[in-house]
This record gives sequence, structure tokens and C-alpha cells, in this order.
Amino acid sequence: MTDSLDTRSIIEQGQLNFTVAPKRQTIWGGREAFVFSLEGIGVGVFLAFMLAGQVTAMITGLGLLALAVLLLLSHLGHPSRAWMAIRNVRRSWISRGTVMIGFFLALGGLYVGSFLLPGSGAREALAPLPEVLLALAGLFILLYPGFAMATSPAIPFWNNGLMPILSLANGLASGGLILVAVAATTKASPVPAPLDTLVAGELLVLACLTLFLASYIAVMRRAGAAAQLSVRVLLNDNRGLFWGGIVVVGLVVPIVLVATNLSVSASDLWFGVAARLVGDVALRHGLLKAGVYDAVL
Amino acid sequence: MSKYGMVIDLDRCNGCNACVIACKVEHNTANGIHFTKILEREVGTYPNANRQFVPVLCNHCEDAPCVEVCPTKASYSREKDGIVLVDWDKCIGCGACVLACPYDQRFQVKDESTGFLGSLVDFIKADTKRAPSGVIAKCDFCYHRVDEGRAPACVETCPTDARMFGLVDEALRTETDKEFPALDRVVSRNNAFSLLPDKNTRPNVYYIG
Repeated sequence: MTDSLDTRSIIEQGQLNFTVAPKRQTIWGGREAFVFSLEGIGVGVFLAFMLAGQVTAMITGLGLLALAVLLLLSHLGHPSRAWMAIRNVRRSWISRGTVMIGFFLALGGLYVGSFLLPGSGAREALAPLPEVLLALAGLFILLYPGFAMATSPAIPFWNNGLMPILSLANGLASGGLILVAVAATTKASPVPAPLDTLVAGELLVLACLTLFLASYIAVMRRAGAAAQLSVRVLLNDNRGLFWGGIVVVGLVVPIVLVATNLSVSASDLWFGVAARLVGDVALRHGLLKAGVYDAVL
Repeated sequence: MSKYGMVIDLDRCNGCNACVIACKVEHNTANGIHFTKILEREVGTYPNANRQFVPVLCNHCEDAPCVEVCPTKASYSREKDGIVLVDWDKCIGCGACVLACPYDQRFQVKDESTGFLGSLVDFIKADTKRAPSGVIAKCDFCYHRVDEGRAPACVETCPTDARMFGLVDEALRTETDKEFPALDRVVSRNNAFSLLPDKNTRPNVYYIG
């Protein structure tokens, strides 16, 4: 990185500052990061317990997703028109995400309803189609925030193909850990795989997330001026959020707890889940906070 | 397809901000929101250092990323001339277009008041609709004036003629816009450049000087 790049030269979006300089976005922040994470958590909880067939937990998952939607509405300038966000599915990732969340909530509701009102036999007759559709919709919900950010040409730190992968890995790491904790708590794996395989899979996802994050930062350190400034904003100006929230709480703690799962109790694993979820929000928040526009000239 | 564009001569702009005021009056923009701004930067080194003024506004891009990302299709390019507009009745204020615009020329209206003197006086031009709270607002190339064959307010006001509004291609001229100059020759003769060309948005605001 060149020494001339100094984060003190960055101006805040919305400030009445009329110099030609890089600008840090202030439109999306902590609330959006929390909403994106909550969407992923809701989907993760639903899918994990769908495999275990636990209705109450599935309802909780749908409730968390619905709560995320409500929080998202509060961020809009005109919440009453939110339904219009399904109009540009052909080009807008926010539109696609909105449609998929609606689909997940509707199908998930019907799926839970089939447990509460048994007798029709529709779920058994259609299996595994509803489960596969819910899993695919869930995967899409984990992916779309990354694509929504990656398709913004204005902010070089986001505008690259690694962003959706990072977003997906972040969501999968959280969802996978919930699955491991469920398996450890119920003493039975909710998926047709032994607990050891789940643990190995979760460790792999956490390792991939760590690798993707390191690669992302390494690539951005060598990208254009705005991307380099973004890295500085993330690593220097927000060092507590990055090293404390993202690295230690979100990665190191879960990795240590999962790696030593045989010697820790299920409650310790749930502590790991809590840490991972904090790290999930912290990572999204950090990436959003570090969004810097290029200077126009 | 874009029909109109603007050429801004940086050597002529003296940073008087008359265009900024004209725009605010024309659109009743809320406090803190400026559809056009005059940015400043230092050029050269001592003893030949100077200050350069860079007027900025929406570039009414041919491939506008703000239109692409809008989930409600509230942001759109007007079919007849490519002017990029926002339909405030469809805008949900999600901010996606603000994040997509490389020129940071979209503004979230949080408070529509245009107050002055601690909001004791609220200046409103009676015949102009102002952006309501909660939506995204931006430069509209004064399309209401353009439709009448008049140049945008910022162009008309500029005392140094630093801004030139016209047709991006002479071949697009029709009876309704005979008053506007063609910009294609100005652009090619003066080696005009656009801002952030690497973003591939094909902007229609050019700079010379």
C-alpha cells in the first residue's frame, strides 16, 4: 500500500464537505448487517431443525426470518411500499432476495403446518421435494446479500466475485455450527451423517471462511486506491471490530470449541454458536463500514 | 438511448456556486441536499499550485447502475431521451441506488424541510414538487424545462458559460430540441473526458479543461 493513502482523507457520505476525495458510505451499517445475519440465522435454525423434525425450533427459525424482514422494513424510507421490491427480479439482487424470503416463509409455513395438522400425507408424498426446495431457497438467502454488495460498481471493496463467496461462507459457518450444537445436544445427528463428520465439515467451513477472509483482504490490499483505503478502514480504524469481533469471537472461539468438541459440553458448543453469531454480524458490519467510494477525479 | 448530455469547462468554472443555488431553487431541495455541487481540489505544486473547481451532478449514465439495482423499478431511464429519473411513488428508500452510483449523486431525503434561519422560514417554490421524506432524490436534468425547450437551471444560470447542455449526437435532433447545441463535436475537439470511466457506466456528462 502506498503511504499517501490515509484514511483521514476520507470524507463521510452526507457530510457537507466539497473536496474531491474518497468517500465512506453511510447508507448501510449495523442495522443492515444485523438484518442480513438474522436472515441467515433464521434460515439456518429452520433447516437444521427441519432435518431433526423439531417443529417448535422450525417455527423459531421462521420467526427469526420474519423478525429480520420486520427490521428490514424499519430501514426503508417507505416501509408500506416494501412489497414493490419484487418488481425487478430480472436485474436486482435485492428483488431476488425479497422474492426468495417470501417463498421460504410461505413454503416453510406450509411445511410446519403439515406437522401441526397431520393426516393429509402431502409432506410424505412429496418428500424430499419440499426439503430440497427449502434448502435451495435457504442457500439463496445466504448468498443474496453478498451479490447485492458485489454488484455495486461504486464501491471497489465490495465489487468483486469473492464477496458472495465470503458472504456464503459466513452464513454456512454459522448454520453449520448450529447443526453441530443441535447434534451434540440431542446426542443424535439430525442429518444422515455421524457427529464426527458434522464436526469435520464445520471445521472445514470455518477454515475456508478464515482463508477467504484473509485472501479477500490480501487481494484488496493490492487493488485500487479506494479498496486499499477500505482495508485500512477495516484493519486500522475499526481494529476492535475486526480483531476482536470478527477474528477472535467469530473465528478463533468457534474453531477452538468445535475442534475440542469431544471434550466440551453441549452448552459450551452453544456458547460457540453465540460467539459465531456475534462474529457473523461483526463481519458483515465490518465489510459494510469499510465501503469507500473512489474520488471522482 | 441517451439523447442529452452536458459538457463542463473546468477552465471557465470559477466556483461561484450560482448553479448550486439555481438548482436548489428549481427543485426545492431539502436542507443539505444538493443535486449539483462544486467540488474543489488543489492542482499543481508550489509555486504553480492552483485551485480547481469541479462541478458534479448526476451523469445520466447510459448504463446506469442505479437503475439496474433498484428493486422496485422506481429508478428508470426515460425512454424518449435517457434522462435518469426516480419515481417517488415507487421508491421505497432502500438506498441500493445510492450505494451503486459511483458519483455519489443520489440522496436519501430524511427530512424534506427546506428551512432557513433555524427552520423559521421554509422556502418553497409553489409550482415545483419537492422530494418527499423517505425517498431518494437526484438531479433530473431539469426535464420539465428540457421538455419546454429550455436548458437546465444550472446551465442557464452559469455566469461564465462553463456548462453546456445539448444533444449527445447531432443525428438525434428533432423539432422539439432545435434550441440545444450538439455536443459531439465539442467533446471530440476538446478531448473531453468523463469521470470514473473505469466504472463502465457510459456517463453523459463530460469535462474539458
